[in-house]
Amino acid sequence: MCLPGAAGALVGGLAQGLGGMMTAQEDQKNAARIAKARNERLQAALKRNDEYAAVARERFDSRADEQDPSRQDADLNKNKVDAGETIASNIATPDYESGGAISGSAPPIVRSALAKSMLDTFQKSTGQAKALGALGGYSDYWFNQGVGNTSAGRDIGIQNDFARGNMSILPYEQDYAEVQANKPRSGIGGLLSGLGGFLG
Amino acid sequence: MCLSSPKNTAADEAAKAEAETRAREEKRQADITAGKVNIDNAYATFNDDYYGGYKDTYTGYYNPQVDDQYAQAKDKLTAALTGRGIYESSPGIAKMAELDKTYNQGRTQVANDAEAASRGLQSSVENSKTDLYALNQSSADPEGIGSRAVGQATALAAPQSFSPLGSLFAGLLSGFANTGQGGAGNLGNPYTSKTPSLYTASGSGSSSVVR
Repeated sequence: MCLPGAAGALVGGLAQGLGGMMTAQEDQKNAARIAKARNERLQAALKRNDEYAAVARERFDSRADEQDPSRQDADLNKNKVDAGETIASNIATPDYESGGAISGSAPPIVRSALAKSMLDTFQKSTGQAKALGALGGYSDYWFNQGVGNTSAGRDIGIQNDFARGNMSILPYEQDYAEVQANKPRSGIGGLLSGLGGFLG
Repeated sequence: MCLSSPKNTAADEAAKAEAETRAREEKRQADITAGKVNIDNAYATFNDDYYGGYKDTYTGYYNPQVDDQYAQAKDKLTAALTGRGIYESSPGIAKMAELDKTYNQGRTQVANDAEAASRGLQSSVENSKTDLYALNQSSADPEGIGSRAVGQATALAAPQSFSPLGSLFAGLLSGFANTGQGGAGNLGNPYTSKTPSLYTASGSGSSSVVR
């Protein structure tokens, strides 16, 4: 249908404008839907990762509590004492009452001297063993700390792996979401524009 | 003519692909969790009691060797000191004290080595477990990792061979043995003390010598 003169131009112009506006609005709405869908996938991934982070943080905090400065001295001292006692307990207590293997005919003063010597040796050796244990207590302490840290690291590593897994599929999830959210233009705007051009 | 909108097959395919992708990742994570449980179960035996038992085994192997060497050294030293008439003298007592000291050092060393050996074993266990955790995350195969964990744990728990103890008292006895007067067991030249004896001074009854 054709309208004559100025009226046709006016109607054609209006139809073109309206068509262009409809197309722009549809494009904008589509872009908003896509952005919303992509953002929903991102938020879902972040929420899942927040849960993993919470588990990892709990494990870390638990480990940190074990290494609290107020506990470190006590733990170190315990390691030193334990190691010292363990090592010292392996020293056989001498039979210093009987004077060891000395003959029964030895004078009391000889037997007494030997017994005293054996006792002194035992006490010195026990002292050395405890000193060695105290020294080893430092190694034990750091070793135990290392074992605890390694164990915590393993557990936290799994949560990190899960989080990485979620993030690695996120771009694909967003692309899929975009395809689902995408709505083709209705065509009405284009039709009006075309009609407007025809009338104009 | 029907003007209803055509079916959006692209959206359907995308939804399906998204669901599959998510399901695969969730399965991977579930498999890793199951694999971790399998590893932990396989390594559950390595606890404080296990390492304590390992230390006991270690000392149980070496202590008797130290004791045997001590007994032999004591016999030799007693014979040597007696042969020189200084067994029940200050130098003799000092030498016997040195023997005891060496013996105690031997037992101390065994206990200390047992601690170190236990830590070494625990270190191997922890390293092995860490490797398995990494493998578990790469493979996400709970059954495979479970079998492997059991195998490694069994290998780690298998009894290890210990080297026999070296000679502890050779240095102490060398002063009596290396004199070139005969074969093995010859105690050599009599011991000459540089320390005045308290108990072998002249006069009767001040000492008793076992010959």
